[in-house]
Amino acid sequence: MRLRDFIIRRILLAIPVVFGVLTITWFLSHMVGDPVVMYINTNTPASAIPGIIRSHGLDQPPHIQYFIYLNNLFHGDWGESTSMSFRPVTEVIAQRFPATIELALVAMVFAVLLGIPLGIISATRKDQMIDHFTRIFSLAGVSMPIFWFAIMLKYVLYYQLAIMGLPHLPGGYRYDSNRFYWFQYTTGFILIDSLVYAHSIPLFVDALTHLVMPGFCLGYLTMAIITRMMRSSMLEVLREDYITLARAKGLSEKVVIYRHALRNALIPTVTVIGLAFGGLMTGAVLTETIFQWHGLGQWAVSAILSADLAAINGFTLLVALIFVTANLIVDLVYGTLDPRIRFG
Amino acid sequence: MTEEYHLRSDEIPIDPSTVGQFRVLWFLELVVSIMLTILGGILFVGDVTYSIIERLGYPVVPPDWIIGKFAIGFAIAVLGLIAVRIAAALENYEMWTFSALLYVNLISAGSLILTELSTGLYAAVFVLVPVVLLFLPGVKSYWWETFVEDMVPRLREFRYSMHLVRKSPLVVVGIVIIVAFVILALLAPWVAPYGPEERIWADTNLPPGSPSNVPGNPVHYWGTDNSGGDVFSRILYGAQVDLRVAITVVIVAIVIGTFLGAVSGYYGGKLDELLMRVTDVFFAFPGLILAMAIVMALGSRSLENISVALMVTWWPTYARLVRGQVLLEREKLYVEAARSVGASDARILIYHIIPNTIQPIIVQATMDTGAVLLVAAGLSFIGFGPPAGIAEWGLMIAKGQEYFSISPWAVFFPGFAILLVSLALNLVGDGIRDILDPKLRRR
Amino acid sequence: MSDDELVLKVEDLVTNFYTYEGVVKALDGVNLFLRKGDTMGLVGETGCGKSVTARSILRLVEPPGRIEGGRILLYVPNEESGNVEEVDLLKLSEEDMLHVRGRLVSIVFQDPATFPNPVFTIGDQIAEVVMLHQDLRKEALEIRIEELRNALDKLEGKGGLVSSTRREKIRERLAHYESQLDDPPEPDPKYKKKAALKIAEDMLRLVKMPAPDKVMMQYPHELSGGMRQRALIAMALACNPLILICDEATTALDVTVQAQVLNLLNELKKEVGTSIIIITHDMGVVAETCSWVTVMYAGTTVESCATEELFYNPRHPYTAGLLTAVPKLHENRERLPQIRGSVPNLITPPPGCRFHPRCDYATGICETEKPHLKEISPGHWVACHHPLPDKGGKR
Ligand SMILES: Nc1ncnc2c1ncn2[C@@H]1O[C@H](COP(=O)(O)OP(=O)(O)OP(=O)(O)O)[C@@H](O)[C@H]1O
Ligand SMILES: [Mg+2]
Repeated sequence: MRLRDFIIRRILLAIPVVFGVLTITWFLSHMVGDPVVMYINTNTPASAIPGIIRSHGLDQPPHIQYFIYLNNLFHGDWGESTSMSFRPVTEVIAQRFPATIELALVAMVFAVLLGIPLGIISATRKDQMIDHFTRIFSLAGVSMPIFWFAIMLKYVLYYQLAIMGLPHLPGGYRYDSNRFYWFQYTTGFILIDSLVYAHSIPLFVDALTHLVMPGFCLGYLTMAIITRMMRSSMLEVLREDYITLARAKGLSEKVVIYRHALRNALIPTVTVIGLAFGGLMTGAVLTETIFQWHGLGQWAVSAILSADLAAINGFTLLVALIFVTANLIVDLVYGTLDPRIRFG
Repeated sequence: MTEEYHLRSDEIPIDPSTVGQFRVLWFLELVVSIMLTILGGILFVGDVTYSIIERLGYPVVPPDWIIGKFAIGFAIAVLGLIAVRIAAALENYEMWTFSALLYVNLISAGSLILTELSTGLYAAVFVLVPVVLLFLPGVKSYWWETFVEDMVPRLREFRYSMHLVRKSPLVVVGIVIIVAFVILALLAPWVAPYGPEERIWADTNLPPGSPSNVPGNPVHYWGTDNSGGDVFSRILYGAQVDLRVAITVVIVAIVIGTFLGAVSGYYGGKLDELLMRVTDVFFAFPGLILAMAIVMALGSRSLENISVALMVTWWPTYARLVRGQVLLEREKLYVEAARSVGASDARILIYHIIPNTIQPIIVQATMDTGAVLLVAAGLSFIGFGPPAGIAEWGLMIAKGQEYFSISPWAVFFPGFAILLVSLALNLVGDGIRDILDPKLRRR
Repeated sequence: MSDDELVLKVEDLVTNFYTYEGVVKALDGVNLFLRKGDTMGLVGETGCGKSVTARSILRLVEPPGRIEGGRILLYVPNEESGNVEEVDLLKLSEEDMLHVRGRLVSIVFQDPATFPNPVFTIGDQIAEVVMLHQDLRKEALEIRIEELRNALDKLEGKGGLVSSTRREKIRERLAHYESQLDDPPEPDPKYKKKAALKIAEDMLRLVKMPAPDKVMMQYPHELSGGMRQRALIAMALACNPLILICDEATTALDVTVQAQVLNLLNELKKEVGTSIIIITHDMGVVAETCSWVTVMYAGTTVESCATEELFYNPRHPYTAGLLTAVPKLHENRERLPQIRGSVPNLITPPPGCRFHPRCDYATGICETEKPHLKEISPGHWVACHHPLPDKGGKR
């Protein structure tokens, strides 16, 4: 009924945004930059270039080029990644997508599980020692250059421990390929593949230990954002009249906070979780290289270093689409959490 | 501010002897406003034209004083236009014009000095003359009383804010760190023992606190990197580079965003709808990723291109913020509109909208400076930065990372500097947001 | 008045707010007494501390506020012995206080728009307080029995082997539950909730909510102001409290709804046996609904007596001024008379009697000595060094 209308309206609103995103990537690749770069590399003979220009419609007027671009995108032709020996961008994405999403989801789970309780504690003990500590901890997360954090973590938890001969966390890659040389990806999500297809608990455990450091690193920023939002919305909610009413009913402080305040304070926090997904994608670009994590972020960085325009274009587009989708999902969750929106 | 009202010239109890002084003020303000508009226009239009011509591939030699004056020229032109409105309203003795003139001329003088033109200084002095004239006894009697009446509660609020700032230790800590870093960055040539790109090949990978292998050279407080660069000195010079990038990006984003946001919120309609859809699209990209795509499209890799990309990425935040505030204020003005007749656009903008948007902008800008610092360092870390050798924090980490098992300090200190500055900015932004938030501002 | 008819007695209550500008001495010696089954009006200018008094009684004053002195005595009938026990709320532990709030003392706040929790249905919110304070063992069991009976009735029509064995089983369980009726066991949460919801719906019916079954499932934003106010009253009355405090419960409503709600309160009082404190600015409301009135001024009680007595024979100069400021229908004055001067700043209140700077009868003693609330004639308490003369029985 009205919830359905809300969903439909929200999806319709996302369509122009998606078109805007396509337009911007087109503008950047075709108007600001030189699109020919997408189809050549240093070995391409100069004589071949006019042919390439013609065959990709780059000599057409801009609006025609725009339609060619859209048409190609919709038909799955996102160009070729020169840095990946000219494999189609869509293929590279399909291959690397699971690695990044798996990492991002682990980071997200970690961030939510830690961020929400911390935010609540900080808000309910406002201006006490633990609140100051939590605030600095979460502000540090927002201010942390994540690539530096990753390097430092790796230095201490992997390198130093290994030198001292202590048990240490793995310093990179998704699993130990010497030990599990026989392993082949099926879905690309190693936590699923190890259990469902390879039936190997040791592999699963190994994959988990490989996820700990990059997951924590990536999740810290998100956790910090969630903690901050949770704290401030909790503080706001605790000042609301209905909290006074809940207390006047004789409810204990615990019930007041976890039943009456939490539900209301979660509403704005959920929105932030959607936005934090953008942070995770950004973080993936900065951390995956450091942990040799063969995901989209690592691909993007190597593409940057070898001036692989098609890859960057495809990556940007993909991230924007993921971001828009994540926010859409969050909005829908929002609708079910807040009855005022659902029926509004 | 309900006590604002217009007086028709025949209503105002003018002492005939002061009319002369008033006329001088009015005439001068008119001249100043036209001058500002023209100068700003020349800077803005000139800069834009030259860069377009350059892009088209024609070799041009623009006069030095125009290059890179894009944003400030634009700001001066807008200020000039506002001043024209003020001068026009001044003729009718509208009460608001006097204090508006005070603010606008002060800001204009500041902007003129920022242009770093040699003539800018003379122009600034000239712009300040009407401000001096405002305080002539004859002119002062028109406006001073209402002005004071208006300022006293603001001053009290301000003093209360300062009290709250002093009471929140985290804000104080943040301010101290920021001030310390800015001072160190400015004093780098005198404080830093080595130059930003100086390499002592005898001193590679020395741990913190080691003396130099070259006799007579100062100690390397924070060690050296793989190519013999002194980490401490490079961080100090890097502070100049990184802080400058972060601050210019935020300022330009504020100027563009404020202008577009204010116009769109104020006039509404189709324009507003369009601008909001455009910002929606910009918000669909995570900041670093859009900036990455832009630098990639721009071709060459440099701090300048990083700055441009970040400006393009960041303005929508401010457009949204300002638009929201403008809508809020406009809403309130509808109520007041019944009482005050014929309020001009400039008056509304200056009297109601600017004062009420400044606070949220300051908060946002403080936090954004930290965020921009992080993203800029991130961009230069992944390879968009300046050529190797330049002292820049992100690049130092990227280079140091290759040898981080040998000289971890070359990674640790630059990253820690980023963390510290960014943390300080966030502490201050977070703190003053709480302090200025009317809902939290309990007495 | 002997103490055993009282349900609430507040003595010399002091509440301060510690703010940036100084200590706001919001309450400085408030005295109240409420008799069983009475409706008391608490009146005074805005900012005189009526809401703070109400919150202090429930110990719901939030920081920077603190209750700093006095006694709040509640007279609770002990169900077993039939005696009345005197409890000082300020001495109770925070945990014991939870049993007082909502069960013994309930409050209805001023603004129905902001007080219900927006994310829970009305039914849930009323049921919550019922589940918290009431022993629902019997009700839950009855609901269970009724459900089984209904299931049995449904099966009656059908034949077949399956349904006959099921019928047998249900009968067995029914008999088992019915045997427990005298001493019901702790119910499981599902049935407890059902019982609470049933009581909640009854409460909505009691407060004359239109379509109570539908409202149970609705969220606060779907109701009108008047309906929300009724829901809040239902919530407050759900556990038959000893005392109901209505803090300007009707101010936000329009006049016709206001009258309805007030009549409702008086009816409910008879039905439920609750004593009521009505906090209001409106002398008309007081005249219509209250049998007793307490007048407050700048954080102190200045006068307390029966409503008629107050209207015809005010003894405190402030009350007298307040009453002349009330417009009367038969009078046609250009301008309402006002009490001269203005409400004092509570950070630096005047010494002695807080009203003395505005009082026409003030003398030296008023500036130095704080007057105490005294019974100057039977049933008439005044805190004044120079009370106005008794006008006698002139009604
Ligand atoms: N949180 C607070 N901080 C500081 N002072 C407060 C606070 N709450 C109340 N006060 C002070 O306590 C005094 C009494 O306030 P209260 O709300 O009880 O007035 P009231 O009689 O209910 O007025 P109204 O009729 O307007 O509801 C006021 O002077 C107010 O300034
Ligand atoms: Mg009140």
